[in-house]
Amino acid sequence: MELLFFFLFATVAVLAAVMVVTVRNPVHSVLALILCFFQVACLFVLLRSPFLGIAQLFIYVGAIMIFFLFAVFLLDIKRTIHQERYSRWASFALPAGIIMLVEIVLLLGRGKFGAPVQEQEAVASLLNLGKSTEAIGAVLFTKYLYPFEIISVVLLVAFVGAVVLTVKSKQED
Amino acid sequence: MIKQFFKTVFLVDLLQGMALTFRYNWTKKIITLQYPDKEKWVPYERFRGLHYQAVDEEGELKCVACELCARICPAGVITIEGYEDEKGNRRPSVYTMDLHRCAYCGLCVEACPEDAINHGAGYEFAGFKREDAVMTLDKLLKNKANEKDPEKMGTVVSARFVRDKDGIKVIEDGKKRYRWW
Amino acid sequence: MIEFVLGNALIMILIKSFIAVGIVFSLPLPFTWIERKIAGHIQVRPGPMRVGFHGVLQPFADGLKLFLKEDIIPDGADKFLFRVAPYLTLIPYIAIFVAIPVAGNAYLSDMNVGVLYVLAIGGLSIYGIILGGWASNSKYALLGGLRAAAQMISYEVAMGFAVIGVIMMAQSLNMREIVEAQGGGILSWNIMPHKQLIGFYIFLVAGFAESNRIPFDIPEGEGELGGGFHTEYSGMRFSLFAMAEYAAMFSICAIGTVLYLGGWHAPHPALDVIPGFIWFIIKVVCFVYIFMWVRFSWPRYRYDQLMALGWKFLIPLGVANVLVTGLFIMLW
Repeated sequence: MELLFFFLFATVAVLAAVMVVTVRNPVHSVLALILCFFQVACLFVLLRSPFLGIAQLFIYVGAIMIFFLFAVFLLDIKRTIHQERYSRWASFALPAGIIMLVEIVLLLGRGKFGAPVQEQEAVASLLNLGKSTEAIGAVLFTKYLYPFEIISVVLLVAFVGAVVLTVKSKQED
Repeated sequence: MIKQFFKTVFLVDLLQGMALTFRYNWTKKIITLQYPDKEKWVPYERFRGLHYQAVDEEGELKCVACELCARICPAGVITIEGYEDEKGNRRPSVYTMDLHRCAYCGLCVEACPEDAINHGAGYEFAGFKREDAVMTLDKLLKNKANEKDPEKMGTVVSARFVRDKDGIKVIEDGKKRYRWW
Repeated sequence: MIEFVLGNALIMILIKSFIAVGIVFSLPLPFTWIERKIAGHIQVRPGPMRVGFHGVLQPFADGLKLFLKEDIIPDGADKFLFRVAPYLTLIPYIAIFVAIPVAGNAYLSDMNVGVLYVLAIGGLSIYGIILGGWASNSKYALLGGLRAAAQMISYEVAMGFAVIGVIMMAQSLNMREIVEAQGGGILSWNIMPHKQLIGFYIFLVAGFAESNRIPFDIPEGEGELGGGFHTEYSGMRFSLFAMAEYAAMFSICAIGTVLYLGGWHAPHPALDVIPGFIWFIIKVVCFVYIFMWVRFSWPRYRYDQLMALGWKFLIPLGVANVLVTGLFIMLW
């Protein structure tokens, strides 16, 4: 049963990801990306971390992709569709992709995916589904407090940066 | 000043408006005209509704088929064929108005030397067939003239909605009559 | 047989989906009639009277009319997206109804992140609106879609802050546990001034905006945009958008009932003899009435006023609400 759903979500996610780079219309490609993110959220739920899945929905599908769509709407779609597909960056992107593929294969071969075993067990004990949010909260605000706070500061900087940029451009006008 | 501030903060104006609409919601009062089902409006004397053909005191058609109306009509609505009857008067044998093209400009009424063609009180133009909008002489004779009684014109009169094989009609019964405003 | 059905997860999923779909598709019928009647009476006229007794069959007549109308796809439209967009708007609301507990033991899914799920899924319906607006190949529709997206993002934040207060009071993200935390009479409901009244106010205003209803229906803006995102839609697809609007209103009302009005709890423990789901329905209907009442009483906000209200008033108020709630929880 679960396996069935796993394969469903995984196949759709991969197909959508392929569509993101093959579809000509940028709006369609953004949509495919949304679908891909959505399927990944479903996979998180299957992995017993509903909170992560919902967060994925909230942040990626619900907010970031809407801004993506905004940006894409402002493109000249008809021109973009007929553009040359392989830009000069392809020669950089291709080796990078190959390196990443090799890394993935190596990691898979060594079985190094996932956290160390004892930590996995500690998390698993917290993770009887009903308590997964508490578990995340507890870990986030004790063990990973400093990374969490640093990320918050980074976000705040981005906030302030956005405000500063808009104020400056207004003064120049 | 302080009063104004509290009015803004607690949305007093909006809530007052909502209280008013709430009151209306639970009263049974209705100010609109219940047109097809219960009531009907009687137009004023100079209303330019569906045309009718006037008749004189003896019930004879006033029209002499002079075709002035057909000439002046900017849309070519009117078709007339005349003939001479037993008394030697010229009368129309065919008088057809295709109201699809009519703009109710009233030029035909102005032009008529005999006051035969007139605007009437009818305002129910809708029909199920194209022929419903083509007024033959019979139909023009049946159409209603405008109300001349100052007590009655511009009033709302009780009526009932009838649906039979001839189509749908709203028939005045005159039981109740009131001014709308 | 029953054991087989209950035991088989796939069949249960199908049954639950059918229930959720059934709710969403059957709700607009009574509610369009009620809304038009309320509109009529507020404006001192009788509303629909001609089809059936006092017009009760009017929604069926309207539905039939929309069903039989020609489905026009504008020239130059993105045909695939144009076809898909109405469904994208409607489906999230169907998904929301899965998570709403109607009574203590009547829910389709008891998620431990229920509140977040509801908010996240509710936000997804915006894709249908924004894509429908874009795919129509029309200026007005695109403007409507962009407005809808901007409005949704702004008010989602405010609504999130309002809901955080409730989550803090209940110490849980589970919708069922949030309702249980409000048990024991009207005084322990979250709408009470000593609980989350400000949160409720923010939730209500954000809810109006999320469901694109007056006073925040600028994505439609029939005065300036001629219908907004659904300008180019006709027939069945248009009715799907209308249905989505009702589903949005209804889901906001149901969520609000769960979060603030004590869900299935009676106003006084003595009234618990009446089953919980009846209380739930009564509360939701009252909530919906407020939505309709406001719709026919107030004018529409201007676009910049709407944005200012969201970002400069509701979000700071929401943050303050979270801080004060936290302080009170700490002190008690």
